[in-house]
Amino acid sequence: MPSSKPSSTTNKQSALPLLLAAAFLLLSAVASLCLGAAGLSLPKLWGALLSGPDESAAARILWYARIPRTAACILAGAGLSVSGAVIQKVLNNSLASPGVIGVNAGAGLAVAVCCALGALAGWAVAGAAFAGAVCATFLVVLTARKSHASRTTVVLAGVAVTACLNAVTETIRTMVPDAALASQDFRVGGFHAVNQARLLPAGILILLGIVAVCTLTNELELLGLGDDTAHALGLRVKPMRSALLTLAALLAGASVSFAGLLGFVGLIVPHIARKLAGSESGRLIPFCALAGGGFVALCDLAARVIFAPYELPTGILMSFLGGPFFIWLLVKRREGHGK
Amino acid sequence: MIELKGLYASYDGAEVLHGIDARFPKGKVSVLCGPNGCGKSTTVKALLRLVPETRGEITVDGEPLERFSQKELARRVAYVPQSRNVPDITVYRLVMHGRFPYLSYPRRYRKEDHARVHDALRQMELMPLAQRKLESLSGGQRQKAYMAMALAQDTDVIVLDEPTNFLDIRNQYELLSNVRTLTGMGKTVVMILHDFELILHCADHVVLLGGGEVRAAGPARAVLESAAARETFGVTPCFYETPDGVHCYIRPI
Repeated sequence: MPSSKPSSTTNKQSALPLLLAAAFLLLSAVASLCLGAAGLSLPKLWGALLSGPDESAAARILWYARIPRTAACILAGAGLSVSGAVIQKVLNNSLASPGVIGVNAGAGLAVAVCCALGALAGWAVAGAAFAGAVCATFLVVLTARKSHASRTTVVLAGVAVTACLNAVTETIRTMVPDAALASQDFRVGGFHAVNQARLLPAGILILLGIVAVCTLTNELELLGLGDDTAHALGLRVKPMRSALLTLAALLAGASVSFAGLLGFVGLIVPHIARKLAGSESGRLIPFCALAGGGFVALCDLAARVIFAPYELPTGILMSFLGGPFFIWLLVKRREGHGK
Repeated sequence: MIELKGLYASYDGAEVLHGIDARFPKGKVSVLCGPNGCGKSTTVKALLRLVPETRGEITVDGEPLERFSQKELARRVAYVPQSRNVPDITVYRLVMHGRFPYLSYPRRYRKEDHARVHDALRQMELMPLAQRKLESLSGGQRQKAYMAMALAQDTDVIVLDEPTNFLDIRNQYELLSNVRTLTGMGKTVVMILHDFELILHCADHVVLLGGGEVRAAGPARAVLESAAARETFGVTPCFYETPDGVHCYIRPI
């Protein structure tokens, strides 16, 4: 006979995955702060943290190089991962990523235009990348809304807009070879040129965006039930889908504005997160934010130390790691289905 | 009671409902039936404002539908659609979505919401499956899970679009017995069914649609026996009585 009282077991959610992700982020951050061309031991790190930024060489390295870079990795990783998770949920497509809604193509074009015009100041490139990413997503959402804003039309509109924007970018890069050269770093993605001025506005936007997504996890879940069911449960489906895609674009746009076109983060981290924390948005989104930040910080650290004193662009290392990992994931899933 | 007065509906300019007048009595099981493409699903979707191009009036307990905000409507009318997604969530989580229309700031479900979910799970006898993933359930169990979600929505009206699809015979009758339980709780049920035998088994009131118009309406046997039913479906239903009620078999014309 089933109990007539609400049992605590039926709605209990384990906090363990979130705690593990937080621990992973913390360890990655500490490792990223300690390791590099000049190593800092934990006592030295602690001392430099407590002293002012100009007290010692170690403090200067920590405050002017390591902290901004680690913060940038964590923010970009969190922003891109949460953006990817939102896009995958909204479009009900586990292969979707920020690139699908035009983020990379829009940012790439805007930066190419910037470089062609000779506006190479950090804030100009960052601002253009952000604006390009958000405008491209608006174009995708607008095109999709003109044709019912279903999940399929969003993906198709994304493919069409991306193709158009990439064509313009390549034309600029062909006609203005200097622009191709100047935008190369941005296209690969990395953190060596990050500074506080570029990071601060984008970082605030990313944090606010993640908080906003965390308040909309029920809506994200409802979209997974299908349009008619979600509508019947009181959700305004099309405006909510557009709003969530816009939030995803803001997160990804803010991330690429200082990190460049980092591939795979928005695709792979949500996949890993679903395996470890489950697919319920209330846990998936915070897990993605924590694990994504830790993952990018770790990749950036590896890019700095593997070939030290040379440094690989983080985006290249991520593609090296991400490609095989994704193939492994696909093969494993196929094997799972075959059993 | 739900009343439709002169309801017209179209998709991309093509009209599919041509002035439907119908009533679905309060606390009863009303069945919409008719051949494929006659506008049954469009009619029930219009009840939920899921069809963008409509004219005419729909009232719920005398109040026009357009007066309700979307969340207010979701607190009055629940809907179990014909084709359902199978998201990667547990039964408990799915049923909890039924409480979304009541969700307010600070945007967390309250104890009362969890209590409602437990009630719904108990009524549908789904407590042992509460923590199972939806994708691991049979078609019949998933159907019950979606019914429990509609129950948790705590509405006066529940609309079911072809709920017996993909169910084996035993599960079809079990589902109809669950539907009967809903009317016992004072709820008004509107559903689409095709099978005459099932309609006779559960319907208090039947509305027969054909070509986007109402062809007949009234008690189940009267409607299904009518000349309109024979013309609309192109078959001859033959009725017979047994101690447990009226039954029917079909002879093609």
